[in-house]
Amino acid sequence: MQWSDENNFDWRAGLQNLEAEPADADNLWLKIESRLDRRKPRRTGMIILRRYASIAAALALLMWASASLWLPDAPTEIQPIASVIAPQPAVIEQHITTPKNINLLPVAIAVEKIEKKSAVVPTLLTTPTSTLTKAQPITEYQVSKADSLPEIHPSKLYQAGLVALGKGKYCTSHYNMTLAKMSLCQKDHLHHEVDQMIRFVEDKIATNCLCMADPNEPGDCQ
Amino acid sequence: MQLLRERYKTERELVEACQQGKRAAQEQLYRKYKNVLLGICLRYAPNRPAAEDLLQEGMVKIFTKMHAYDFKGSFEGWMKRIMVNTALDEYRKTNRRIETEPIFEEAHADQSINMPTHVEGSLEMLLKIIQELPDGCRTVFNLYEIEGYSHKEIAEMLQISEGASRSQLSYAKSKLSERIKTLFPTGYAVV
Repeated sequence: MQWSDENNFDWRAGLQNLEAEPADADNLWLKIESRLDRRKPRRTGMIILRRYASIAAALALLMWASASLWLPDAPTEIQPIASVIAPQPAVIEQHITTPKNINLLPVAIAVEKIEKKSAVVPTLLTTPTSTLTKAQPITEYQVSKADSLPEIHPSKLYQAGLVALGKGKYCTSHYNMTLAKMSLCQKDHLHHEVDQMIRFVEDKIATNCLCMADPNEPGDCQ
Repeated sequence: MQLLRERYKTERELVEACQQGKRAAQEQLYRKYKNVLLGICLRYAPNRPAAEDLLQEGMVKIFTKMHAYDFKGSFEGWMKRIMVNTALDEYRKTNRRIETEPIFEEAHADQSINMPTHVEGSLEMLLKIIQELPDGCRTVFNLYEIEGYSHKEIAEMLQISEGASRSQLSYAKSKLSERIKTLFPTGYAVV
């Protein structure tokens, strides 16, 4: 099959060399220029601002969450514990992109410790808004083997811990903030916090001054 | 804007300035090659507005990929390839279901088409007929007849079978033949 013939004009070359003026070349250039402008690298300040905007937002959130923990009638002993819970900025920055790196093993151990100390906390772990009775003083202390424990999400532990810290005056926003915090925590740092929390809960329960009652029923608290 | 002074005298100077993102150089390059590149777009697009959209898209690609040009080979050829690839990208985007099966038996379209000679505006008319072709066979026709790709290469580019490529080409030729018969009753011959 021949498409070109000696007697006919070279349509193939004609199409290959086809030229045409855009209907509005100036306007077309303006459109191209505009698109190139949008692709232009932004100023360094803007890049930094955009890159760290999420970190700044997370920090602001954490500051707000920390402030929320300072409840007006909270016992003064809570303050050191709460300050431990708040992650350091360096930790946040390191883990904001890899929140799944948390090793749950120490958390699981810690939860087991709490579970052994108080029958109240495990209930709280699964049903944080359920009505709870007063915690019993600790009579037994046993640390189970880590490999026998199921993985428990850190947020569960913190929900329990917050109830204790807030003397029942917790709220949903506390949970959410704490959840955000936990996802940013580093393994070792978390372990330290957990230890602090256990100590706190243990002290409070032992001295019978920690109320684990339903926040909606403040009358149950001592 | 039309009277923009050509600041860069040689093509190398112009390309290097474009690679540095100098806007004046980019504009000079656009004005120098816009007609040639629009010619390519007109062959692949179904109409002129679509062709101008393609030109815009292709020019943006050329400027953003400019740093990849290493001065080996013709710069105009490099730009033309980008423009053809832009057209193919557009084709893939708008034709999610690319004709993968042969739609026309090649034997049925095995006819030669002689183009009319010395007919005023014949090239423009031919272009119009090509633009009327369905997207698939217009693309195959361009790639095979104008760009000189083989059916194997076209099949890879469009992710279709070689048979489908041949079939699309045959269909395109058949359609062109029919239209030319109508438009140029005395100036063509089917052998």
